[in-house]
Amino acid sequence: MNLCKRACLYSIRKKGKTLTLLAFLLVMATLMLTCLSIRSATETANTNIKKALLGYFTINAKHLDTGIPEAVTKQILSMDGLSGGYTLRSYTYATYLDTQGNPLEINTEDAAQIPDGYENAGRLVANTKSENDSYFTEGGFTLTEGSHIVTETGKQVLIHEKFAKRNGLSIGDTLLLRGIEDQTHTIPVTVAGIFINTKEQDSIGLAPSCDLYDNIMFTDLATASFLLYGTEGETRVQYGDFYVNDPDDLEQIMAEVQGIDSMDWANCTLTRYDNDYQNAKESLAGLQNIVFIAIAVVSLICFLVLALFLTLRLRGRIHETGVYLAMGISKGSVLMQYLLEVVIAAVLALLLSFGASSAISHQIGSSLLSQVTSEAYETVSLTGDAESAEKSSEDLGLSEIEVAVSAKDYALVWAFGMVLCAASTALAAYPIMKMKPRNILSQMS
Amino acid sequence: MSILEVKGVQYTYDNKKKVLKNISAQMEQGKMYAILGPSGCGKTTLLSLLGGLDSPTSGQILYQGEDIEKTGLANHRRSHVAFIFQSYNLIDYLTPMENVALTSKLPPLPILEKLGLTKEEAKRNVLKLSGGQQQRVAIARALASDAQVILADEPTGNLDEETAAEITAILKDSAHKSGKCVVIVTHSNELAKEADVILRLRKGELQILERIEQR
Repeated sequence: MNLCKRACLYSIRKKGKTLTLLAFLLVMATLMLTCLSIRSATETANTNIKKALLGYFTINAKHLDTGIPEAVTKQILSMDGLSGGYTLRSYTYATYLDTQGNPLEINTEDAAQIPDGYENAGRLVANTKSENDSYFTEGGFTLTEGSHIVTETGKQVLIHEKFAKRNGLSIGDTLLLRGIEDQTHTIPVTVAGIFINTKEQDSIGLAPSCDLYDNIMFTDLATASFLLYGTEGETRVQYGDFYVNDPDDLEQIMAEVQGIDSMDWANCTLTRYDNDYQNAKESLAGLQNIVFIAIAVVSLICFLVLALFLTLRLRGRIHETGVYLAMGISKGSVLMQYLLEVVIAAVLALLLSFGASSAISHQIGSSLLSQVTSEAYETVSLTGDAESAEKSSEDLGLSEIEVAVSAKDYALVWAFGMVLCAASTALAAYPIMKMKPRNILSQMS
Repeated sequence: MSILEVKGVQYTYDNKKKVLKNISAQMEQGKMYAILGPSGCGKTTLLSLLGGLDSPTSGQILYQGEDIEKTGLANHRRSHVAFIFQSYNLIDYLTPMENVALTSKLPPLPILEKLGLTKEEAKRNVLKLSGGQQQRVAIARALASDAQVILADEPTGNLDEETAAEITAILKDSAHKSGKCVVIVTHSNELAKEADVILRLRKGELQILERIEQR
């Protein structure tokens, strides 16, 4: 009779012992699989948060005479780890003139003061894409006519509806922008769009005339670069926001950026913006730590308890072991039989654990994860800017996370289960297997 | 020619107590041998050495002239000898037929029936059989193994007088009719009287008494 048949007969006929082992292994496999599923879900949550709460850094070169040169921008964008998303910005003031050089009329009624030299001037905002500028995304500005300005569309402006009416301007009309400090920098621009502000300006009566909403214009980066730095054919900017793929790499990428020699880093600042991500990550890290500890503890306990369980079981079978050895059946064959009996129970337990763990991990995992993600939302709301605070769970990508048993985790539990069975059986059988057959038989009698 | 030979064997427990002192003996097929002696004299130790369950401190056990240490103790146990124990030592989750099948490729039922078990008893849980029946299963397992040497340690020790006589007769037949070499360890003079040769162990020394008239 071969060892497989002996193992099968033992498993079938010693029902109580087999069921006890099966129940024990089922609990272990379910626990392990549940922990792994929750761990996978937290990893997914972490990935989603990374995607949702993009980390970025900003270069502020406002006080640098050269701004950020185009070559530096290109060099940064070619670095590894950047997502490709970026926003370049410049802010300046310009005097508004018609094509004949006559000054255009601005709103001065609501101004606290009209600074000298700014009688016909307003704030000029340049952005990679005007529609992404915070005036439009958060400030309540809405384009009513025409189209937004992008980097590629040079020498264009968006003007306020009231400014257009005041000066009889419409889309397609041309006006001149002249630098405040260096009046030799004058550039003709075309009206590409007209906007309105849907939110009343808070600082009416407090702000100088040039900062009133009516007097603001949006332009392209090249136009702003000409007015600020007098460049033609090269676009220099005051600010650059560069987004990274993984917020965890932000520090390393920033260090790399600061290694660019052509920039005078002493007179410009580099600031990281990943607070939202770091705070959300901290909430998840707590859960990940708990799950990691749980996996380690469950693994260790499983091994020890299974080894103890099998030691007691095999001690009760020393008689049988002695008989097999007296018959000339090798120790290896006896050990393999005992291992096979455990494996039979383990296979059943692992099959059943899929269903059990699916139900349990969904319940426990969802509850744990929702608790942690709500903490993450709160943290983002408390620490983040207005934009972050308004992020919904969908925006963070956490609402879609389902705590489910994955094929990878299931395979891992199978592999771990088999190794655990082999190690526990070997450990439990070792004291018996190292004995001489005669000593085993003398213990029997 | 002897099938089994004990050649100058000594056995010491924990390098202190000398249990067997330079003993030698030869055992032949077709004979039943009884190892007789008081408790603790080394009877079971000698049986263990003959069966390859342990190794002598010095000396050799030869099977058909070959040292069993050299041919392998596990191989010796598997191919040359079969054990019968006082406490039967059957595997409790196997039926009598399956217990016999552990060592045999032959159909176990005819062997069990020959030893007096019915077909139903042969398929029953071994623990539900009487002591005598269990010992018959143990003997059937030994006979079915096709080993030429049967080593029995107090095979009738747990049995009543009548059953003990039946078991003794079966073992005797195994030697005289089936040509096996049967070695029995006993402290029963009644059982020893049935043997062809008595090996009396006393203070670690062996005295061989051949009883040719018993044949």
